[in-house]
Amino acid sequence: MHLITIFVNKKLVIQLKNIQKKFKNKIALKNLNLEIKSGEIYGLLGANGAGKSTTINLLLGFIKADNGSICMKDPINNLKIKRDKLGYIPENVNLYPYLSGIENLDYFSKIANLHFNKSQLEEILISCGLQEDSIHKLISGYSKGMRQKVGIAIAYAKKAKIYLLDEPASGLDPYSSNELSILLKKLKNQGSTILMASHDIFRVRETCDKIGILKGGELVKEMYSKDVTSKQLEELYLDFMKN
Amino acid sequence: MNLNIFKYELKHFYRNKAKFYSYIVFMFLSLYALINVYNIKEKQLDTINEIYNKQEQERLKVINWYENNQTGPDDKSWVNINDPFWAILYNPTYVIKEPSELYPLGIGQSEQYGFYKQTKRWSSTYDTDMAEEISNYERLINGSVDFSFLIIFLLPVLYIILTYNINTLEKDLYFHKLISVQCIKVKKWLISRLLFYLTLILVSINSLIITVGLTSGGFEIMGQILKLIFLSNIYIFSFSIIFYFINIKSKNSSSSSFKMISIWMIFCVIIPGSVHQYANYKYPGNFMTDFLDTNRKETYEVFKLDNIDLHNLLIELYPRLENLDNFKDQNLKAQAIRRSISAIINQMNIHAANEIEIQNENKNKLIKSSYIYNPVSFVQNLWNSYTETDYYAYKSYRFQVQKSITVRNELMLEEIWNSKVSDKKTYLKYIQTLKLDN
Amino acid sequence: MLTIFKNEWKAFLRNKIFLFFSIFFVLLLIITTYFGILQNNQQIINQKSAQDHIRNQWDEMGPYNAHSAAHFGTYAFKPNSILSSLDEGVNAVTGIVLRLEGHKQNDAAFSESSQSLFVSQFGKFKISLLFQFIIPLFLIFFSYNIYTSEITSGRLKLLIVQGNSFKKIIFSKILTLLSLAGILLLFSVLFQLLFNFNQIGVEELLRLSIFFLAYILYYSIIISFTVLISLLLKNNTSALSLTLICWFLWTIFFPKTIGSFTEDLTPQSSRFLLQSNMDEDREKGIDGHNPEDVRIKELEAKVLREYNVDSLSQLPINFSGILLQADEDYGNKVWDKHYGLLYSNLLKQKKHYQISGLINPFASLQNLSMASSGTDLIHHLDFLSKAELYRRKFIKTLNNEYTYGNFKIDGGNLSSSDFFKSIDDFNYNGLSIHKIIVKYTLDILFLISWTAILLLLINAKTKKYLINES
Repeated sequence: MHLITIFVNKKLVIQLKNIQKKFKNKIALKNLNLEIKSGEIYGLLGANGAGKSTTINLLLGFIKADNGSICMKDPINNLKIKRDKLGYIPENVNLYPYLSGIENLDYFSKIANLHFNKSQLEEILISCGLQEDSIHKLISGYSKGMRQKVGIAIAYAKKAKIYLLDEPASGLDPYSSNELSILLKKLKNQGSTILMASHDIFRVRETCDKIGILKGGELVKEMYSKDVTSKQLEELYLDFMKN
Repeated sequence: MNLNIFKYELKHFYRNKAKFYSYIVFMFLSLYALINVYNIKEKQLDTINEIYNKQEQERLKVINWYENNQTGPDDKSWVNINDPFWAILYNPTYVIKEPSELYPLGIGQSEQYGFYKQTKRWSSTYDTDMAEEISNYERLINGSVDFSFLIIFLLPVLYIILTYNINTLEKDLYFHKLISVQCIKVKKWLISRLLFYLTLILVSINSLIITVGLTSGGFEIMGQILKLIFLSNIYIFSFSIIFYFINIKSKNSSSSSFKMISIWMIFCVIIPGSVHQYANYKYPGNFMTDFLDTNRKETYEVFKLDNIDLHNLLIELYPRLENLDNFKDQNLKAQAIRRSISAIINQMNIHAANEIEIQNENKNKLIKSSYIYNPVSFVQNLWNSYTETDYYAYKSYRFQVQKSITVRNELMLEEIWNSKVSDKKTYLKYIQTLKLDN
Repeated sequence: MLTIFKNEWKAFLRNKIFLFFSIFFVLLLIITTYFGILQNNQQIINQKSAQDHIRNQWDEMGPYNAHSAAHFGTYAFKPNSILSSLDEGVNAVTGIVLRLEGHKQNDAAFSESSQSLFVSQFGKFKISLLFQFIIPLFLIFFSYNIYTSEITSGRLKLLIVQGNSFKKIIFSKILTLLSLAGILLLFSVLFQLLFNFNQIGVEELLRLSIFFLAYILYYSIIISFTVLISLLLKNNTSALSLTLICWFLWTIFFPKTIGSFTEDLTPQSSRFLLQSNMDEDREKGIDGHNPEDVRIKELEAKVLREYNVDSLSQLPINFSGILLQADEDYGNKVWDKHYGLLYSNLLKQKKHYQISGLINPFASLQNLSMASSGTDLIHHLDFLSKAELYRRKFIKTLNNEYTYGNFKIDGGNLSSSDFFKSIDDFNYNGLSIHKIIVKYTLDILFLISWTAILLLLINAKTKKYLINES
């Protein structure tokens, strides 16, 4: 597994070229070019309305670009990645409140035509960080962090090649937020590619390998997180926002 | 359809208390409605039995008179049952509209009409004793909880409760995108879920219809049962198609429930109510003055006619009378003419009643022409026709009543103009003749 | 409070959906009222012309035997009041023609709903249908989220910080919706006044006031109930579902089931049994057309003694008339016994239904709506009773004429045409509103109690919210 990860590391998994998207008279994305390599966690920073969610929706296929091309390829067999191999974790993972964590996972797997037995489902949830004693409780009693873990488990269960996370850390307490970072790194180590849109400069710096700053629908800056400290990233971000 | 989603919906269904209990309440209501109308049917059958018993007793009394050489009741010496006029007069007939086998499945318009009538020589199809069975009028306007009401008006509401938040709960809680990511074809997912409820509903109501139908009518009425099943299933299916588009298009569950309830309101309340209002404006409640004139003024005018005029009128209406015995004997002829007036009045009543039927039919035509945009009334009337409780079922009952009156009058004419003498044997023959099925 | 109220109205007026529905309702109201009045007036004209038609026949009868005239009889046609266009009530299912004749009492026949195919389960599209079924439903949709929308938008806290109490905010919103419903109600009342300007008197104004009051109370209940449920459940979807289920139970389910239950509680005999029992009782009385009846002999002896003569031919009066009236009086007693029980049972059932207002305010509204429009059971029974009283007076007049009339002196047996012309027609004057109010006190009390209790609960709930959750 580790060898495969190294082998495919250099391959592009997500490629957006000259993407343009307008909503009525408002430009949402202006010549967006973005490349994410296999096994990479990419953090997309930006203010409200910068185009982060639009980018994720484009990748999910919920909206179509006016111009430009989107390509998502499996690094192993070079085949196009379709929606069935995408994992999506929204800002609020509100699942069916009257079903338990394990039932929600079972249901969402079944609608994706995946079948697991009870122990497999439990295993997936536990591996995504959910406490064993919570698995059979109703989702309505879950905290936001726990629901997010179920959300990730849903993507994990279908062996998603790409995880798309829209503001995953928003509203999470620092402990849960840290747990999320650990979980995402674990997924990355298993070969998954992750795109995470967020406002949270610190969490992005901590979790992601590469960071892009979006402003007015354009990618204005890209950097590796190992090259900047949190403080520097914050200054850089504020500079871009001011100008 | 995805079978897994379909099966999993059972869990969604029973975990959602509002949906589960609504379904249970509906099923209880259905049973209550079936039992309620079954009891009404039993009550009607009891009344019918009482009527038949009374009829039997009255006939036995007359047969006893024959056997004991009595001519009639002790306090009415002028009665002579050896005279066919009195023998027929003392031969009571009742025309009954027995509740159909499928009556428990739809009470229809039956509460607006009477279901039994004693037919006498002076009777008509619009006599006041043709009025409906005694009921509380305020209860009548609210109607009964019967099975057809539950299917036509309540089942769409149950379907709304069961399905209004499918695809909209996900939108309310912002995880509809997750569904799309998990599920390649959201429409397929939605249809699979909706089909679960449709299947649940259809299986439930079809089982009830089959059980009730077979219990009360057996396999002989299988055709009727299948018609009801087909009608109810098509009806619910049509609603489910409209609701499917609402499920797809609505942005949240409040919006979908609002739209669904509005659709229900438009089809079940507003359109039928408007058609009803318009039909009544166009054809206001009939005071039936033409019929009243026939029944009263014209009848009295006939009474005022002298025997020659009456004789001419009788010959005109019943030409064969001219060859009968009594026309030769002038004394008997005068009495026979007076006794035949009811046969003349009967002809007048038939004509007047036909006029009313024509007026009613005009109103019905207007109602039928609305079916294209008023499908609920169409379904209800079709349902009522299957359970034999619609206007036309009672119209045909009125025709039966009329036939019985006519048979009685014609038998009387035949017998009194032939100067016959009646005895027990002829009395028994009269009973057979007056029976409508002969 | 006034500021919030004004602001709510501003918000409503700037809301396109609200404007659409308001225009839709007002148009619907105009059309419904207009057609309702048109149809009602048409029915009034038809009733009058039927009445005139029958009267003409009576007047044209010429010299006639008074007893034959009693058999000839007359008809009472059930009139529609001008307010019947508001709520048709029982009129569609009751007979509208009543034959009044000697020897027997008939039932009102030819109900309108027996004259055609089935059309609508919930009645004609009259004002009552709009106000009882449709407007409450839309009020529910307008009010189920007035609390939660303020919470989720965060406006609630802002409003409270600005110095408004939570209670004031909620009550202002309730008042706004109520004023909206009130305006629609007022519109319909004004239309009634406008279209029937010449015929509206104090009685009608009072009736319209009760109509208005009943509906405004019911709307207060609907709005308060919806708001209370949303305050308790704090969840849009559940609140809406529960309120809709309650609306359905109140409006459609309870009226049917409780109606059936009241009939089971006070069962009525079948028409056949009633008639058989009446016939049986009638047998015990004098048969005016049976000369061999022993009771006749007794009466004959009594009359002869009274006039101090030995034979009927010596009597200065017509004994047959006395006999027929005695027969009539006995028949009336039998009718009073059986129909008295029937009517009292119907009223008992009505009383039981009124009590259901305890759990179903819609029952109270329905009762008051029909009562103020003059189309309830009490009005109908009053019509039947007054028609029967008229019949008795009518037949007695004819029998008196037959007994004491001049024709005997003239040597014939025909009464003059003038005599027949002098007999007044049946003219039904409905119940006065004062009598109605007494019969419907329970319904008024229920509506007021429901409103008061719900408002008190909202009051308590809005206080508690501030302490525990804000």
